Amino acid sequence: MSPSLGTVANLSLSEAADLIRTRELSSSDLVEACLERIGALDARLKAYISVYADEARHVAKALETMLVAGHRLGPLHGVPIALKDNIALRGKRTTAGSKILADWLPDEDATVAARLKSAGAIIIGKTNLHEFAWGGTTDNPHYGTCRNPWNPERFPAGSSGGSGVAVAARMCFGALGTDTGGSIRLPSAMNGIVGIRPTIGRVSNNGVVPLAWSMDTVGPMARTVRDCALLFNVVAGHDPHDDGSVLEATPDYTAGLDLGIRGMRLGVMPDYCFQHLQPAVLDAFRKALATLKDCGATIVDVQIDNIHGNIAAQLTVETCEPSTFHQRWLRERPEEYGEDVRRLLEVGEMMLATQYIQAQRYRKLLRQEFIQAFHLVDVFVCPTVPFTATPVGATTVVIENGVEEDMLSAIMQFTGVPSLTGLPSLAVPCGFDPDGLPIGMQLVGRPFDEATLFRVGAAFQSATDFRTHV
Amino acid sequence: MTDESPVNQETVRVLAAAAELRLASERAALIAPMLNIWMRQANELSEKMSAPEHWLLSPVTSFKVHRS
Repeated sequence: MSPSLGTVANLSLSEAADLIRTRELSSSDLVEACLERIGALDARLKAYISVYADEARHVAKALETMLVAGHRLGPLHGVPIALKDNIALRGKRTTAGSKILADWLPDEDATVAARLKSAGAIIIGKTNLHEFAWGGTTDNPHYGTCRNPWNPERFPAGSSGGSGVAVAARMCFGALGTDTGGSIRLPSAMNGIVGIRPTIGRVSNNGVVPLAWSMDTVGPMARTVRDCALLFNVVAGHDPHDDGSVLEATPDYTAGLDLGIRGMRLGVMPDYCFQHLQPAVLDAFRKALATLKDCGATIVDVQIDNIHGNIAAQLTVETCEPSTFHQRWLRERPEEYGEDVRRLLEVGEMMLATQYIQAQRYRKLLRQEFIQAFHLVDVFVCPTVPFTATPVGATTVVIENGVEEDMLSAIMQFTGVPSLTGLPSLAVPCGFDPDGLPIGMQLVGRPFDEATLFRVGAAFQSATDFRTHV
Repeated sequence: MTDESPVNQETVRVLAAAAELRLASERAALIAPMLNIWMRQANELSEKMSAPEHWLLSPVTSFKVHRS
């Protein structure tokens, strides 16, 4: 008897891919399961900007025929995957969440989209995002406010909010997001899923609408660490079409997932990681550290002398670079932006060149300190976000002592550090607050050592059951 | 905003004119508070990075492999 669509939708990506390979499930089963979830939920959650129902069904049938004939395209053969709508897909509207690009039909696939297709993935749709990826709520004035599936009265974070929601709500088996200051890791944390920001240069940006060139990167989002690693195997690697792409070998990122973390040294910054957190986040983080210790890791206190200042640097770079990219449109079509993004772009026009370059110098300073600290530890651990999902419409957040803070600055407390340094970081679910909202933990690794992040994340998921909550 | 604020609405208008960014009059009031905070933070960072111990630090202009 075939499993119900609901049961199919709850499979992990790895499980679904295995069942396709053994022909116990068909690609059509997976597509129908996702489409049923989209039909039931997405009018409310607004995770998708475009859904390719008919095309996905046709591709699924074609992939089934190929499999019967002995042709398996790759590890994602027949698995529905979603793309953030700032990633180009040939002949498909790619809006970047904006009115300005509402009718853009790219001539070519982005490199990451082409790699997914080559590995057999079925692109089931394009997901909602904060307009032009410049913001952390996915409150999109043009395509609808994206909502958190754990509580639709809460934001899903952003800017890859649609990808986070689509994965968490079982409307796809995995998704790609983009991350400049936290846009993969923030919605991963807020929606209880896994997401990786790769080392800068590890994944191609070719065909991706930029936000801030010096910090932008693409990365996968999925429900388990194993799924995320499987997707990363497909998208990571050098691309001659991207000048920022690095010639560095890519290992099999699933190979070390079961090795455990006995003897591994995990660094925490005591004067930064335990400060300025909502109580539930602090509690979940402490418990996560205890779990990692139980798994055999050693927790090492490490001082990063110049950690403070990172939010100012992040905001300065992330203000100036987008305003450069948008300079013409801001002069010719300012009324076509949502108010929040328009204001951020206008502010970025007025920052000084010296401020921007000092921020770039700070990035080097911070990176040097982390590289030095990696002589003492293998991975850094911190919360992903200092608070849990905020109410829809909120622009401020209370973290401690009843003080309201600007959400955009507050949300980058931990995610800004890998963005500035270029280091890879993995967001993994590590608990829930008293309202049942997910909490995330962030692992930060050495350059190009994503494999160790996956290994630590997999060990943590093996020791906990947060991933099984629906 | 206090008198010590680095940015007020008039400053916004001047900066916009310098950048040849046409700005409707009401937008200066929307922009000034945010720009004021971010300028202040950026200036603090600039002061930090102007300290003698960092005088030889060059900005990051590329992202190459840093093996530890």
